[in-house]
Formats: sequence, structure tokens, C-alpha cells
Amino acid sequence: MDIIIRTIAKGIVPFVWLFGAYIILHGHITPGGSFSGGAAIAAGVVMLVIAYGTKNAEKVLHEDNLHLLEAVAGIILVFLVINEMFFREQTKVLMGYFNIISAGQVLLLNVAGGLMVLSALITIIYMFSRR
Amino acid sequence: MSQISMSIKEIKRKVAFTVVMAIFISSFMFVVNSPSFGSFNGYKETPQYYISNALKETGAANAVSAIVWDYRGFDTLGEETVLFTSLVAIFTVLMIKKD
Repeated sequence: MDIIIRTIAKGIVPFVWLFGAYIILHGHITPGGSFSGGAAIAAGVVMLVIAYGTKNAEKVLHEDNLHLLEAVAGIILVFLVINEMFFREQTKVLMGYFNIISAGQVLLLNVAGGLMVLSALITIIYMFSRR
Repeated sequence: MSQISMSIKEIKRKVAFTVVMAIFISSFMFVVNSPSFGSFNGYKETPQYYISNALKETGAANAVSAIVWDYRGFDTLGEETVLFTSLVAIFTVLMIKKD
């Protein structure tokens, strides 16, 4: 693409990823959560794909790593949800109500679900942009 | 022989009529007895419980996140499964080689 689009994408994409990570990590305090944060990070990858092409975008985030991430996050998510069914009271970590490290399972579930949404959406973007 | 088959058809018809009427009457009674549109009084208990207990029980200040991941965790796991299934479906469609 153009030099203008490439320069603007290079400047904006880290902040988009930072904002997505903020939405995921603060999902139990402020509005948002795993789905919207993962979609924001995937939007950053859309910018990279449009500006630099799929091959150059895959140097930053390769598709094989995304498959691995999706599998690991899905397994962790299933274990956390089953764990929540039996040991919900024991795993509660309450260090004040409005800290980042609070709410026990909800934070971990947000992170695992966010990784799963992120990897699924980015894989779909790569699959469609390669055709 | 033909009499028996006729009677079986008759029984089937009566059973089907009864089932359809039961579904119709129960849905009609559900619509009639449900609270009027926009009124708060009918659905008071569950939102009140979440508003007053979500922060205490889960520790999450965002009540929506607490409901989605803590009270209804299996539902959200199903949503993630839907996303994963869509990914697999897209793989299946796009991996077909046009020779």
C-alpha cells in the first residue's frame, strides 16, 4: 500500500493492541471483556494485513503460533469452567474489590477467552486475506 | 386388517390433535399470564439478586462479566465453542483445492 497508510499503521497498531489488552485485563472492573478485547486486537491485525500484506503480517504473528494459542487457551478454558463448577468458593482471590488482581476466576477466564477469540478471529482474517 | 390400520390412523390423528392443542393452549396461557410489556414487576427477582449479590459473591465490579463468566460459565463456554466451530467450518470451505 501507500507510504502514508504504512506509516500510520505502524504508528497506530501498537496502541490498538495495548487498548485491546487493557479491555481484556480490566474485563472484571470496567465495561468490556474477552470478546470485545479480542476483536480490538484482531482489528489491529486487519490494519497490518491491509497495509503490509499477509506475508509481512505473518512475520509478526505467524499462523502456526495462533493454532497453538487457540488449542492451549481452549483447553485452559474448559478446565477453568469445570473447576468453577466444583471449587468456586476455594478459588476466590479477593484482594480488595477494585484491583486488577481480584475476582479470582473471572480474570483468568477473561484472559483465556480473550486469547481464544483473538486467535480465532486472526486465523479467519488470514484465511480470507490469502485467497 | 383394514379396520385395524384405520384405527391406528385414527389414534395417530387423535394423538397429534391432542399434542397440537396442548402446545397451543400452553403457549396461549403463557402469553396471557406473562407480565405486560415494559413492566418491571414480573422479572424482579433475578436482576435484584444479581445487583445486590454479584460484587459480594464473585468480587468482580463489572456485573455483566460476573454473570457471563461466573454465574453462566457453561453458556459462555458454548459461545466459544460456536466461535471455534465457525473457524473449523471456514477451514473446511477454504481448504478445498480447485484443480
